[in-house]
Amino acid sequence: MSMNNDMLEAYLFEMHSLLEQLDDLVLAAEEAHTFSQDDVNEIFRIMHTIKGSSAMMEFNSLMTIAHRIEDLFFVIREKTMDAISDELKPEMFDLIFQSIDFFREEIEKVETNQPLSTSIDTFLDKINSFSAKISGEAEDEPAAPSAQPGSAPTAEEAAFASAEFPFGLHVYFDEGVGMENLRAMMLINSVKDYCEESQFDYYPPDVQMNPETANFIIDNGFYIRFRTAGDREEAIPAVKDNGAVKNWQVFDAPEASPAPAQKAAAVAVEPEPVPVEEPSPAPAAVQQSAAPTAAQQSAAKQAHVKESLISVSLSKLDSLMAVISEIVITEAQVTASPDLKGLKLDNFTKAARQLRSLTDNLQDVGLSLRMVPVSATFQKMKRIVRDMSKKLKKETNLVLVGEDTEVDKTVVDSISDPIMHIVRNSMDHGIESDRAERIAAGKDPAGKIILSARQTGGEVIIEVIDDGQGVDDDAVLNKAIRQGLAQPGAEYSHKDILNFLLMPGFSTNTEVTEYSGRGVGMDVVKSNVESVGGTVTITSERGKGMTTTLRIPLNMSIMDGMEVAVGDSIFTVPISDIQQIFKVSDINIIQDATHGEMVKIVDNFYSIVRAKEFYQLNGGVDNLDEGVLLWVESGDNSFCLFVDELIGEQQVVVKPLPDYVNNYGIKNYGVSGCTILGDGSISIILDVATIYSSQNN
Amino acid sequence: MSEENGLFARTDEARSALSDKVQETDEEKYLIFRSSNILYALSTAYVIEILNNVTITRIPMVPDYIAGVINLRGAIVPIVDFRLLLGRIPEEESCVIILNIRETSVGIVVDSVDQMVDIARSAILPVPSQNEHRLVSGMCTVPGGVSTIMILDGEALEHIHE
Repeated sequence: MSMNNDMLEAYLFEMHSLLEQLDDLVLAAEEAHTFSQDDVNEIFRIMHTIKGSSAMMEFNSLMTIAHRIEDLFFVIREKTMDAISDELKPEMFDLIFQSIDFFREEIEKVETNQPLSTSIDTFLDKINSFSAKISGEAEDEPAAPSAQPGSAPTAEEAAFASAEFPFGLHVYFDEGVGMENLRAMMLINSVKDYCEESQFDYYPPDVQMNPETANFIIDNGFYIRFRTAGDREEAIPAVKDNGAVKNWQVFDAPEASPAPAQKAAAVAVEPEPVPVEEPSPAPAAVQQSAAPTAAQQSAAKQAHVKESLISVSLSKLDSLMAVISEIVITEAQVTASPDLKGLKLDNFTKAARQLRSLTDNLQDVGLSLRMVPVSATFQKMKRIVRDMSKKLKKETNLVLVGEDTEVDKTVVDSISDPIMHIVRNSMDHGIESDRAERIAAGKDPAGKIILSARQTGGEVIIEVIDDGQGVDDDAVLNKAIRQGLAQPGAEYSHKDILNFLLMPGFSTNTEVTEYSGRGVGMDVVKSNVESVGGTVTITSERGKGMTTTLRIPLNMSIMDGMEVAVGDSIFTVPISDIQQIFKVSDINIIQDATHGEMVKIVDNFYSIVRAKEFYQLNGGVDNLDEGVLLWVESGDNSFCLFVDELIGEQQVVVKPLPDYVNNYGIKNYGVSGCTILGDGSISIILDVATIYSSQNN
Repeated sequence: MSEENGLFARTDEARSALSDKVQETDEEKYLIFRSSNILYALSTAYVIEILNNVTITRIPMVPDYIAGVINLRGAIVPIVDFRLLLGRIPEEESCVIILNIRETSVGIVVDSVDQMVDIARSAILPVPSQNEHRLVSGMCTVPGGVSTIMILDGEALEHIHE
């Protein structure tokens, strides 16, 4: 039985990773409107694996469906994607998504010990009829519009299909402008205002999904290609008006007139790092081999990554981390032992230094084990946005920022559901249902949701930003009054009203939709995030959109800290938050009208927060010229923190304070955690941003 | 117990014999400690260890009875000053009792630790309502002695911030 369980666990793990891979692949392919030959091979391989593993586990429904899809892709592999006409493609993508969903459902049933589906005939019929369609079509119409007999074009060439879009624009962005892929996406969005989407295409095609395309664009520029010269003329203003565009050039594919075989050849040059203005008439064969290399490389990389992964239970990692933290502390206790004071121990010192660097390494490695990028969670949202934009007929682009931000595994688990909920909410309630409404408001007709992650000192900040209609304060307030959450007649600020959204039992949508608005809503997000000690804030401007910010503390992390003393207390300030440390004399201090103090640094005035007074400590320095000012900055907040003296810089292991003391709301005063110093004493870690906001309240 | 009620003695005897037995197994070990000259008892089920000479790191912006946190072999444990919690003035002499209350570790600062005793549940009497305190669940006399001790409700210590 345990043997069986092990096998089952391995099977489930494999299925989950295969399905995730498949999801990414198909999403990217849908963006490009076609499968590359590599994609086809990959899907064929995945289906083959699913079929084999499922047969071994005797999961028949999974095996049968995987078998049929495998057959389907066998046909596509033989006949290449050109055998599938453009009309059939959307149907094909939907079919594959449906099958991924089917696999997921079945896997879930396996996990929860439910019987598998037995009636899969309707779905099978669907696949069969589609298979019949493409084999039939391929036979009936050997000369399908995009197929080019004789030249045997790769699927990738077909993907660019630039023979249809001979009139090009080659755009370079300002150097160092950053996020070139997003800028390209925005440029495309503005071009759409002038030109039907079906009348042009662009390269790289996956600028929206793949941040790596930014590098291609930096090196080679960004290509937009139009079906007619007229469309291009109309779209040029969009390029001209774009603030980030450095220069742009018009080019016509020289093959615009000659034979189709040549078209394919010349266009294939584009993915290579050769400016298209001077296409070299190289033989078609060479280009075909060059074009797919990048894809092949990435496929090879993927296979490699997969093989070198093992799954380890989190509890083992936790105990490893606990031991490592202990070692780090003990190491410091040994090497800084007061017994050694005054002794000259050359060999000991040398060995201790070596030990120090090794324990540092150990700590880094140990911490990195638990860290996973948020990309997997973010990628899942792509699928949700895709499905919902189809279902709700709201064209929406999802932009991911900071996908590679690494956070603790437990954090990833705790934010996955909240993010999904917020994204659904944005799709459902945020993005306008009517394109005309967006255009009237001067926005891009297609909605945009930005999902971003970044890490500051002691926390991860996740933001979901939509450019939808924003929160209607009056509607929310009325609703809150109806729900008994607000008092009629009372005055509520904009901030108060936004907070109603986070209250239990609040759902603004009058209709219950398939995706969100089941009466549970943002309050679930709030409670999920709070369960890991995080906070949720909403900002919104009517008509401009809404931003939901999740701030999640890092439970276990290592940080470079500056130890400072105030009275007999020791505090740790994250080095990343410190801009500058300096001494001032009383003469440089400016008093404001309310007894506040300020100091001028470069060309700005910054307020001074005295740690001693802020924390009502006994003891400590009162004269500004006897202590030290730390100019700190976190996010948009910048101020000077006045402390007695600096003790030194140290790498510290961040530990949360027990809930027992957190219950007194000390986090609101910037007491975010603590750390154990080399001598075993405890230092309190300060959160600069919270001190700032607390001081201002 | 009911010697005067001869007629009903049989059943009553049987019942009291049964309840005696239950009470025997109902004895619990208590740790007695002294705080501001009052004796308190706390079930040893909560007690992990007793520490002398600990360095307590103060935490800003908490009530005075939260003495701070200590580093207990790498774990951060909150410390409550029991004397201040009950509104007394702390004495110089002190020691810390580390407790584990339903998976929450917390230490309390007291004047001194007295002894360990077995107290039968039946010996614990309710506190008169005027003298009630939410941390004290009952009182009793020290077995074999004359002093009175306050029985502490360990679980109430877990929620003192409420």
